Amino acid sequence: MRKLMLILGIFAGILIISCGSNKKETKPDTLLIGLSMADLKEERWQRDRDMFIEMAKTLGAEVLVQDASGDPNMQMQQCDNMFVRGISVLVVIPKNADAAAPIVEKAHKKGVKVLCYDRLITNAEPDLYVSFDNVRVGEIQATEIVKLVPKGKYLELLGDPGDKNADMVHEGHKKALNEAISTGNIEIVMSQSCDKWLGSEAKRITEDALTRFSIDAIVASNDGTARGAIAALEAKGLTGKIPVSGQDADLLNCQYIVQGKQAVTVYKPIRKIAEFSAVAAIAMAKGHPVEGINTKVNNGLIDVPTAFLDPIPVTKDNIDQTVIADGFHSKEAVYQ
Amino acid sequence: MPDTLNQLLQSLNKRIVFMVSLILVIWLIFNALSGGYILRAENIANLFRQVTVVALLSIGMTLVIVSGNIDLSVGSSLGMFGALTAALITQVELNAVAAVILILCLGFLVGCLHGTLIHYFNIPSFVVTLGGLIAYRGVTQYIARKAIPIRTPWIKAIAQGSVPESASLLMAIIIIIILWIIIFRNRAMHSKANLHTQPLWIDCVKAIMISTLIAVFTVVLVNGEGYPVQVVILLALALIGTLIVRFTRFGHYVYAIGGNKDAAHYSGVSIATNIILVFGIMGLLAALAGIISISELSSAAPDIGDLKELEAIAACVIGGTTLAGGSGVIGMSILGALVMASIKNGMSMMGIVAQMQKVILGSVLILAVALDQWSRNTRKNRR
Repeated sequence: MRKLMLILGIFAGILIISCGSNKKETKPDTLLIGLSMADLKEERWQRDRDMFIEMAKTLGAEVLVQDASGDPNMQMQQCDNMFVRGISVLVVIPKNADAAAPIVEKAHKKGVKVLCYDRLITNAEPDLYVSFDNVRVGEIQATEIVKLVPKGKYLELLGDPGDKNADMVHEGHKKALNEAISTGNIEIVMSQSCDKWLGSEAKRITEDALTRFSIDAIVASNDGTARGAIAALEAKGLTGKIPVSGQDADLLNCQYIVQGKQAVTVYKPIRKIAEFSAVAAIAMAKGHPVEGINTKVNNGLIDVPTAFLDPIPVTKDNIDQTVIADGFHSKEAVYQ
Repeated sequence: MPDTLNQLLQSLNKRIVFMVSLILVIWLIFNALSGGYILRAENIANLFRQVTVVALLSIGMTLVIVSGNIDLSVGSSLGMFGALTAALITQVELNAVAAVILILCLGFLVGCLHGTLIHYFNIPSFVVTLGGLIAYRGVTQYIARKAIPIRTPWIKAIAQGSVPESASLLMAIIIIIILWIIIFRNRAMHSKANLHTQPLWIDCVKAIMISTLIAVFTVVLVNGEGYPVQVVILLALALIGTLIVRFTRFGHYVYAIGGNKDAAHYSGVSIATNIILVFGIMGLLAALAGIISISELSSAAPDIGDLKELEAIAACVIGGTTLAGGSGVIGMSILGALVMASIKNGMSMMGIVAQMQKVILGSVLILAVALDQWSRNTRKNRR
């Protein structure tokens, strides 16, 4: 009984405290941007977040960040929460292109505009899409590998089967490889999707491929999958002998490039997309026109106004002038 | 006065009081920390939406755990049934009503299959459902490798829509009337059987307290968009579940089996039928939760329901269900789910980073069970 009274007492105490501190509201004139992220597990998304916040802050806006940990339902619910918090504009990195459609619908009901960051939301009417051209990314990956291995058996590691970007990268691969495939110079002996872009998936697939075929080159869709592939190559003592492509210029992969373990990664300067999006989001919140829209992308329902930014291939030869010169990674870290 | 207060407090179920105060404390803390956003009508409606899937699963999970088993497959089977529903409606172009009924039946059958494997093949439920966890995720990822959109308006409305104002009010009134009938019928039955009855005023105060609570929430929700449809489904099923546990033979047998399987067997309880039925119910609820999940997203995605089995188990445990079997209350598990959902909602409103959220959620799980054990032990010692 005494315990129950104790609990009720604590409860009453908190009630009083909370009544006292209820007045703590955020300043009404600060612009609040909602940033809904699918997942923060990959190194790159943390950079996106940090650079986005940095830029928004210098422009005088506040950012509320949500990480859905890869759960599309959770992402939906977190966006609901942010609408209650009164965000003026919503920046979404959707976990799933289709499943995020109701987020756009709900945002518009609340009069909040939606910017799709790096990944397009399909079958909805988002207000802006900012990304690097992912078809170009795939094209660069395959082209760079073909430069090294113009003839031979290729393994193709694709991204998450639910991610539209993975499809676009795949399309780029096809664009670059089709000619060589039709002439018979190149044969794709295996092409598989890696769930959630996981390196472990890529490793398993590469191991299988190496057992069944003699592979000459690996076109991997991002650096996570490239790491998986390289781990599998390492176990067979094949690192450096079979070129591997990647995307994102993760630190470990940049090290692999200078060590000769990985042939190429496609660098999409995150600062560029983060800062562009922060500026665009604030313009949208204020009802100003967004500068830098250069194309439209059809998402199944409408042509979404799109700003495509340029990706850059990074090899041993130009890593100093790109990734390191940008301060994306320090020279010491890459050449450790 | 202290005497009468004491009398009232003693007549209340301490565990319910503990859970309800815990939830209120969580709300108030986060309300204070986030600057008053938690207790807004809109957020309360969101919070109840956010708890539904796990709470639904925890109804079935309570029965499973009480029967001395565990079901690890529900997160994955939720995803699988969701994906199947979307595929049937959008790709096979089956009538949506037929598809939903078909999936619910299938959910029940898959659950029964688990029960059969567990009982007749003597495979531990942990193993059978762990297999399900892995296999059904594969099926989900295969079916929904490209997300499948759903456009049927009434399916979308399950998770996105609300019951209209008048219906919400009517429902609240009906619930309150039923509540009063139950309380006073109990009184009448007790006094008829010459059992100890509490003073009339205690029952009245209790009834008034609960009615006020329901009324306040209804008014708050109606001020927003009304009762979310999925919450109505949850409440209805929670009520049905509780009635089954209290008043059917099946309900009593489940507790008997969980308490002592051999004793139950020798008393003539059919272990097979009841275990299979328990898992069948769990499967049915997982299928329903899957339909609600795809409704929320207007589409099926490959990772729907990931880790939901663990959240459902955690909800049961926070609600005081013992993993050894034999004891557990459906309503308490739902409150357990509400505890977790409230913390998640509060942390999200504050913009706490996800890594920290996980640490806090894990700690709360352990803390809640520790507190519960502590209060139980001291209660026992006093006797």
